[in-house]
Parts: sequence; structure tokens; C-alpha cells
Amino acid sequence: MSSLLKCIGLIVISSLLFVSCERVIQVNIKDEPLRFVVEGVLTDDSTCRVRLSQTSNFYDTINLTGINGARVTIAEDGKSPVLLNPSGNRGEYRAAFTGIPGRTYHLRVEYKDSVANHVFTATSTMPQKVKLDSLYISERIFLGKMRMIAAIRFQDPPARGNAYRFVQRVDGELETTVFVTKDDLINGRSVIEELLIFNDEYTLKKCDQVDVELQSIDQPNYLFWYSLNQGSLGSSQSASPGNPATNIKGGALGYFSAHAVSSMNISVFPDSTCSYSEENSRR
Amino acid sequence: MQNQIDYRTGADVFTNDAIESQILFGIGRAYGWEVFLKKKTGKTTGWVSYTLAKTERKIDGINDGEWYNARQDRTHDIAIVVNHQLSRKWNLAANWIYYTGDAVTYPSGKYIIDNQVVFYYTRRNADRMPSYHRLDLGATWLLKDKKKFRSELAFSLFNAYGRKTLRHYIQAK
Repeated sequence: MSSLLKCIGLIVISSLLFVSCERVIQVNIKDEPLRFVVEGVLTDDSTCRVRLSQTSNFYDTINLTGINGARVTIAEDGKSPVLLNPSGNRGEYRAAFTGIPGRTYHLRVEYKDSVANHVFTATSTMPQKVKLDSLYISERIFLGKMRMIAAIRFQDPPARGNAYRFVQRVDGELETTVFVTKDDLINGRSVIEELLIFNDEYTLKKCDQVDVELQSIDQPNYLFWYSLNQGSLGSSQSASPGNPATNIKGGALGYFSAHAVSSMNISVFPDSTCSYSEENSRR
Repeated sequence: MQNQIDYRTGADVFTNDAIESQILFGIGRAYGWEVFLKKKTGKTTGWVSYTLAKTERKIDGINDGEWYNARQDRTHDIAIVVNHQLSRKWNLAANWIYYTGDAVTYPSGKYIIDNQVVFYYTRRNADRMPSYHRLDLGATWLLKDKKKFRSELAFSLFNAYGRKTLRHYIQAK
């Protein structure tokens, strides 16, 4: 009897210890002057795209419009710059320009507003291309559930200093988890990378069309994505949040990356029950 | 103060064996003013203490190398303790403490990178968690007071006005 009482007592006491509640509140956040954001991408498969935008205040609806009216150029080292033309009206600029692995590129963004003439520059060297060897679907038990995830295999070159970013699209939809790695621990090896997504619900489904792009990125861009993932996404595990390490000079946030890409796609266990739209089946 | 330590921006401390790679060293300074008043005699005794303080750090690579609040920086710290001998058997006590919330880093804004919302930060530890305060009440009933033996029955009520203490913020989805 007394041991039962003790037991009940312990349960009551320990339940008191762990009582807590969760409430949605509005934290008082001071507005700060807005900053410019540059996203620049140049690849070896003819993507040449720069987006100029601005930060939004924390409680405002995020500004998706971007900034039009800027003069954007990209120049290969020692050559004359290529002008990027506005594309749409969301602050995007494009050009028919293809990067070559091993070469260095200089981005220059000039934008004049009522305050000042803003100039942002950045330099990125396109690393040698590393190709995907294979893409397959892997089944893993994660958080107690069986999940289907994409896995890739590639061969890291013998020299040190390679860095990679993996980008996954499912049915054409970009999956935003940041996957980056560098060759500190995998140098010269054949590497398997499973694109495990830390989300309770996440799993690929039968018939999904999965597209994985392997980007060979330079070290500053590795740092950008790594630090963005560590400290800028509002994760509760972040000990010291901050802005990602940018290679943009002139006070803007963001990145300029010249990278070589290799991509593959796969359908998840396809059979006759899968129906693909014409656009998908053409891929 | 020399050899002050803090996490580098974006430190990974969650599953990292090489924790020394995630910290930076610099200098610190702390200054302040304290007052302490105590009443020792009479039926009602107790004390009041107040501390006004500032603790800062300056570390290359954090906050653009400028002075910033240490996480432990506590601007105000107040304690009031009152003890009242109501009768020979009953003793009442109250205790109120207040201190400034921890220095934390809130985002100042947000922007989009590759279709993903990213938070924009300005200064390290420039914001504050809500202040902490709490009233505790107690009553002690003296049962027996013998030469070698004394027994009392003590009643205490912690956080008498039910102040909800904030442990942490998570971003609402």
C-alpha cells in the first residue's frame, strides 16, 4: 500500500515538475533599415540568372516583387562584361551566357534609388564539374516511420577542396532543405548521399518524379549555404543566429555562385497506375 | 576581462564533437552599482537589494567586432525579503525577486533565398526576453520547541501571483 502511495506521489510530483504551456504571442521586434539581397547563379548548362530584392520587416508580408531597374553584368576574368536583361517584373535578370569550369566570374549590380547609387559586386570561381553517377530511391525508417528518400552516388575527385550542394525537386517543386557537404571526410571517394529531410511527414510517394541536381560549388558558397542552414532559418537548435556568410561586397545579403551542375531524374516505383502529365513524361 | 568565449555566428552545437571549432575568444567588461539595506531588529525584519549592471563582450567576428551584451547581462536585479513574527507560534515570510530578461538575438526582418524564407539579423544579443519576477509567500507554524528538539510545519506558496515564465520562443508556423 505504502509503495503504491509513494508511486502515485512520485507521479503527481513529477507531473507538476513538467507542466508547461505553449501560447502564440507577438514578440516586439524593432524595424531596421531594409537591406538589399542579391541571388546570382551562373552555371555551365546555360543558366545565368540574378535576382535583386530587399528584406521585409519581420511582421510585414514578405516582399516578393523584387527590384527592377538595376544594371546587372557578369564578366569572365579579363573579358568584357555581359549585360543581363530584366526577365519578368520580379527583380530577375537573365542572359544567354554559359560559364566554364575553372574560370572566374565577376558580378556587378548597380541600382540607383532616391537614397544613393548602390553598387554590389561579387566574385566566384566555377569548380570543375563532378558528375552524378546514380540516383535511386532508398527506404529508411526515420522517426518510427518508413520513408522513401532520394539517394545519390558520385565520385569525389582526388584533389582536396571540393564542395557540393544538392537540390531536389519533386514533380517540379523545389524542396527547400539545404544539403551541402565538402570533401574533408570523403576526399577522393565514391560517395553516397541520402537526402534525408527532417520533417515528420516527409516521404516520397509512389509515382513521384524526383529530380536531383548536384552543384559543384566554390568554398565561399559552401560557407554561405552552411551558415544559412545553421543560423538563419529560425531553428530552435541555433545557438547563435546570424546572417549567412556572404560573398557579396557593398552591403547586400545573398550570394553569387558560379557552379557546374549535373542532374538526374527518376520516377518513384512507377507502374501503369501512375499518370504523368505530358510535360512530366517528356522529361 | 580576458579570454571571454562566445559562440561564433551560426555555431553548430547540436551534434558537434569539435565544440572548440564553434567558439571565438575576445575580451569582456562588466561594471555596475549595488545597494543593500537590511533591517535586523524588531518583529519585522528583512532586506532590499538592488543591482544595476552592464556586462559586455567584444570579440572579433561577432557583432562586427563591436561591444555587445553578454547573454548573462542583467540590467536590473531586485530582491525584497520580509520576515514577520506574527506571534510566538506563527512566522510569515515574503520574498519578491525581479530581474531583466536574458539578452537574446531576435531577427530584424526576413527575405527570400531560393524560394525559402530566411531571417535577417542585425546585432547580437540586442533584444531581451521578458523580465523575470516572482513572489513567494511562506508561513511557519511552530509546533514544539524543546531543548534538543524543535518541530515546525511550514507552508509555502511559490510564484504567488502565477507569473508565467518564458522558457523559449519558437517560431509559429
